[in-house]
Amino acid sequence: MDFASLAVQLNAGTIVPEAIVLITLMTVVVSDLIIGRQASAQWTPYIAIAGLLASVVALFYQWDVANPISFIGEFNGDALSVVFRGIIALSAATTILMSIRYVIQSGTSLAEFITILLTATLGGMFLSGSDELVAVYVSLETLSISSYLLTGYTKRDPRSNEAALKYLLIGASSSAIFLYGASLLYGLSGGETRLSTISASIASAGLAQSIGLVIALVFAIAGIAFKIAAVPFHQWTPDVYEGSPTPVVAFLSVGSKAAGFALAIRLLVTAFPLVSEQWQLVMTTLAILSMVLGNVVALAQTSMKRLLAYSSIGQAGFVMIGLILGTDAGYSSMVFYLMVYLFMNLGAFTCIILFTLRTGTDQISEYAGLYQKDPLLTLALSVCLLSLGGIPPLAGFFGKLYLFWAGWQAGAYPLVILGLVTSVISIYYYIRVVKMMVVKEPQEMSDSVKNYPPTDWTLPGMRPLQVGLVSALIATSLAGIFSNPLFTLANDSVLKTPMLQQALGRSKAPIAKQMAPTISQQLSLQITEVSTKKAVSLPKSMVHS
Amino acid sequence: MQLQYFLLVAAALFCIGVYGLVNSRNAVRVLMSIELMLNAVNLNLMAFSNYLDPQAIKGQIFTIFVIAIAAAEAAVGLAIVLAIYRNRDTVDMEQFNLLKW
Amino acid sequence: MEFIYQYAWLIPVLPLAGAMLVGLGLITFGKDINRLRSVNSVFIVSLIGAAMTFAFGLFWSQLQGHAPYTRSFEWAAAGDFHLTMGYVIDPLSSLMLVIVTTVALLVMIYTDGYMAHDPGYVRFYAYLSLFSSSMLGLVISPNLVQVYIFWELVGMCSYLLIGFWYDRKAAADACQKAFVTNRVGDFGLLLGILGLYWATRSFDFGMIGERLQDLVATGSISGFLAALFAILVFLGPVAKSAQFPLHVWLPDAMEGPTPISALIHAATMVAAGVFLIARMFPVFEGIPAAMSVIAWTGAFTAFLGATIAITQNDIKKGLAYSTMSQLGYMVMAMGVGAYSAGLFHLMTHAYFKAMLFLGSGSVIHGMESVVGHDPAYAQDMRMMGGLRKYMPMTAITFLIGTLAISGIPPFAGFWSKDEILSSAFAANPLLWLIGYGTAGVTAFYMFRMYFSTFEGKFRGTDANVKQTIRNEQLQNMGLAFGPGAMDPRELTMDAPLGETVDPGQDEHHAHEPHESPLTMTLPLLILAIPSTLIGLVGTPFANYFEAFIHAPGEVVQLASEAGQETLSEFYVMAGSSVGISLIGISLAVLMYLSRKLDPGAIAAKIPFFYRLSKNKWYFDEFYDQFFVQGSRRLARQVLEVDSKVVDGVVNLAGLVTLLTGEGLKYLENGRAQFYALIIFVAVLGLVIFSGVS
Repeated sequence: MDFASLAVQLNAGTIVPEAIVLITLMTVVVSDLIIGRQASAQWTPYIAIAGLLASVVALFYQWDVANPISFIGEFNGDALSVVFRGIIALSAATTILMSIRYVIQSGTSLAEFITILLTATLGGMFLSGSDELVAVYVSLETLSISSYLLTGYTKRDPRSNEAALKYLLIGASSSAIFLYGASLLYGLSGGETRLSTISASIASAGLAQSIGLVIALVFAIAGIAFKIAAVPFHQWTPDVYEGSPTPVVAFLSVGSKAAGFALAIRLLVTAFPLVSEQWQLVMTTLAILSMVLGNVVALAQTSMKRLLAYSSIGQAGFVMIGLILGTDAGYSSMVFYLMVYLFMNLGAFTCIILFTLRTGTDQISEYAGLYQKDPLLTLALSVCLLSLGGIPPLAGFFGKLYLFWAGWQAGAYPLVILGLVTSVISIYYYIRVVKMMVVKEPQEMSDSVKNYPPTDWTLPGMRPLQVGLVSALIATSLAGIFSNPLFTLANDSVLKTPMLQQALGRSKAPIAKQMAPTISQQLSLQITEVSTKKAVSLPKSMVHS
Repeated sequence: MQLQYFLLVAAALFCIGVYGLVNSRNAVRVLMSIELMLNAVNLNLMAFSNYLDPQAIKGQIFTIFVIAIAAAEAAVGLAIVLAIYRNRDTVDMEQFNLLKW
Repeated sequence: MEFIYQYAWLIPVLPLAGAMLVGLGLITFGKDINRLRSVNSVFIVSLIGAAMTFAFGLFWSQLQGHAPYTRSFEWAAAGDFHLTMGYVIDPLSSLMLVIVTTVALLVMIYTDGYMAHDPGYVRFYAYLSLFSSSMLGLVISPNLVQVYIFWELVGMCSYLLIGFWYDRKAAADACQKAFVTNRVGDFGLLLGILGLYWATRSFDFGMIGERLQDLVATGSISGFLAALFAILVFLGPVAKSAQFPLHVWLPDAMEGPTPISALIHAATMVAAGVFLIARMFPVFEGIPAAMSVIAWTGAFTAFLGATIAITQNDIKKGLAYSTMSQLGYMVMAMGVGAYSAGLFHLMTHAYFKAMLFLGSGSVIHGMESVVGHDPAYAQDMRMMGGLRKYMPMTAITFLIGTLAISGIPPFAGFWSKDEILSSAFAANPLLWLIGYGTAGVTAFYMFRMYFSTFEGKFRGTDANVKQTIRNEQLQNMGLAFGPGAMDPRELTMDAPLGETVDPGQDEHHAHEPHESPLTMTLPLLILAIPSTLIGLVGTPFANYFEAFIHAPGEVVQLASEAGQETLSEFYVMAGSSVGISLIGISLAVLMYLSRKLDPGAIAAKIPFFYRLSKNKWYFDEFYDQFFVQGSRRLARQVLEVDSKVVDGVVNLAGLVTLLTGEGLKYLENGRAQFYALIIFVAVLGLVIFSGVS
């Protein structure tokens, strides 16, 4: 059998976007090796950005693909995964834009940084579509291990080292817990690893109410909650955010978090429908804790990066509301919020990077009076922070509005009210920064601002930073007012995803039904050894759908 | 031999790993404890694979992946420990608290 | 021709882009952009010029009978709630586009001369462009929501522009007053919009009217409720078009630079109220109660404005009251169902009033060279006189404007005012009587203004006049005067005012005013053309205007076809209104030109009326006493409760939150193993928690 027919039978077309990222990655590594560090820093970032954008374009063509399931059920490129992969790729592209100057100034190799970042992106993109326990674990670890490396990238900085060590220890222990949960799932289902077949096997084995399933659930949630930084699995967040290079933090807070949410939806909805009450309960607890703790502790922060760390914990709490609801509107509001969050959070981090590059500090008090020296930066940071706080008419307001509206529709009143209260608290600490920058009189200016050098946009790497800043600013200001395309995208991604539609009890999931025979055909043809078992188990799951 | 015994051993091993992770002062020992936890999972997977899934042996394949990734994780972990040792001249976990509050 | 309709959205977007670019430039490179004065102004003026060309294209196409064009897209949708945005080009909006763009263009050219020495020159252009964009967006809005958004935007621009010289206290107060007063009206408008949406499930003008009729007819909502919503919506125009009782902001708004007074507070924004009534005509038409409220409000405002204008000494305030009075005419026309007459007057008024304001700006500009930059002196007509010799262009254009507003044929104002008056007569003779009397008063005060500004001898260097003005000003500030009132402040009071203004001590000042530069007189001359001639498109002999613009669903026939009766009726009406205007003018001639009658003596004979008019019917005092003081008193009481109870609770909550934050952050002790421990404990806890429940 030749390669082409194998590719067709594996339905390898679904992972073209990832393949593009992989090829880009290889190009960056090889060209860096060939032409040397100095020369390659000139253009490898642009290759990487081009590759990521090409991958987004490829994702665009994956939108309406008839058969999203590929690699014998390992990977599911449905509409939901397309949106999440798009978010991750875009966040990586923006991160590269903002990291060029930062990495050059820190005196480390740019191409290596980009290579590791692209690996993390690859892991995140695969994670969004993984539909099988081994694939989930491998892609999760690809993302995590490259994140550890990124965190410790400035290896002469003891703070960066420490952040990397902490991140690694916490990350490894939570992935061990996750893995333990996965092994229990494998056992309980009597040897199933595909997410979509697990629950049916467990139900047929009569283990639907067993304590083992609950343990597996909680263990799996621990792994996810670590990725999305939900309280009480959040404690690494502030330390890692403070210690790591800022562009890495930007990626962790958006790309890695989005991947975590993609995994959360897929795993909880497809593998744990039997204990949906329990998982909703656990996630509610985590959401409440995250909203309260994230937003309250943020009040007491003095470092901008730590502030954004706690704010991102709080934001994760808001997004989890959408996950808990289990309605169409809930999922699509979640997707919508993540898209908006991409722009505003990356915008805020771009501003912080710019400020740090100019002054070398990220203390909030050092921002005092910045308006006098750098109005553009002040404007951009204010808009992004106010948007994070949910002030109309910025994008974040519409995101929150939709989330809370979905919650209200689904009857989750206490959660919505708590969300409103905590977002009011959050406005307080965002406004504090804005006030610090804008209101202060010239004589109250901080020392760093007094010595603020004029911005020289012609230095290498500054132009991309400026491009990133301005585009994030424009997107944050306008995405709210022209929210309709994003909104439609979020809605469609939920409506077109058979997995969610099945979970929501809609029988009209024609895509899934059409797929059943083709997949079992492929299986029985290709992998003769296991075909008998698969062919028996697959239709069984379809009966349940 | 019964499946439960394997599971019990694996659970015990996992708990030992947890204990080692929380209680060691040496960073290398912490990394080793993580390996212990992963090996507990491997034991679990092997047991399930043998008893419940003897034909497809997906558990065993899973184990191979886990071992490979654990190796990568250990490598990265040791690299980080090495970097931190160069900067701080210690691998004592108690000393690593530059970042707090 | 179709393609200009597809790109009609460019009309508001072009000035917006200009404002954005210049604004962004100001934010990022403040100083450099400020230095590039002419580059910025030429850029913005050419953008509005492009918009104007577009507008003329659309207008021409509409004139040729092109069908109205609507384009909309979905802006937001949630469930079955759809919010569409877009634009509509029909005769009404194309006419408004032409008016707004032409006046805006001329005002912008004029600004170059007027603001030449102002440090905020570039910022002013950015605001002007932003305003033009919002106003153009308003007139092409296809539904109420979009109208409301742009309504607020023009309000915001007006606020920014009134307070343009924000370091002047009067300007800062005035913009606040305008803002608050408009807020009252806008709140009503918003309530009305929401009420109408609740009743009809639509934001579309025509659809609301249709459905509301049906609903009232079938009895699903009471006629009272429908009238209530209509009147709430009308509150928006009441505030924006300075109608009684929300008119108080307009005269104060004259604190802004004069080009603003011409563009916003005479020609365009204040006319937005009338425009909205025209757009909502399908709704109002079916509710007689609302129509009569509109008509009477308009009539009363017309009368009120005219009576106050008689005694104003500040040239801009006088014009402001006259604007208010003319807007009253338009609103009255709408109220009596004379749709096209009202809009016709809107158009003629836009041109001649913009010209009058620009003329007054030119006068002030000339006066400032003599008396200094204090508006109290430069704008006071008692200091002027005889300016025709020094500023011939300004004088002749001002005279044309005065003739137009006084209703002398064949100037523009005559035709439109006459059409309104005859419609009012047909509806209710009492309304006509008010309008008729007001027309006479208008002629009187406008010629009073013209004579005391341009005729007689120049009084700008007369120290007595100056002293009178200063005393009056100080009295307003609350100092007691007269023998025996030995206020210690009296001894020091003239220091702050006298120093800066006394021409004798200040050698920079000339002794004679001069004609303004060409950039200022050219717009005046251009505006004089429509002020003279545009009325001819709406003569009762051949009313092209009404044929072009008429209420939706109304069938129009040219008056000439309607027969001889209407024409003879017209001669009677026109003759009588020209007659009363001539009476007013003669009175003004006697009192202010030939000085046969002494205005002071007349004022002394009827002190009550004089003071009533002089003090603007005591509206400001009344509002101050009842609303400002009353709400202050209420606020103070609430404040006490607030400071003791509510503040305590809020502060406590804030303190608790802050303390919790302070406390909880120490959980983050920086030790990775502690974090891991928390994770294990949390996992255990969650297992137990979810296993048990």
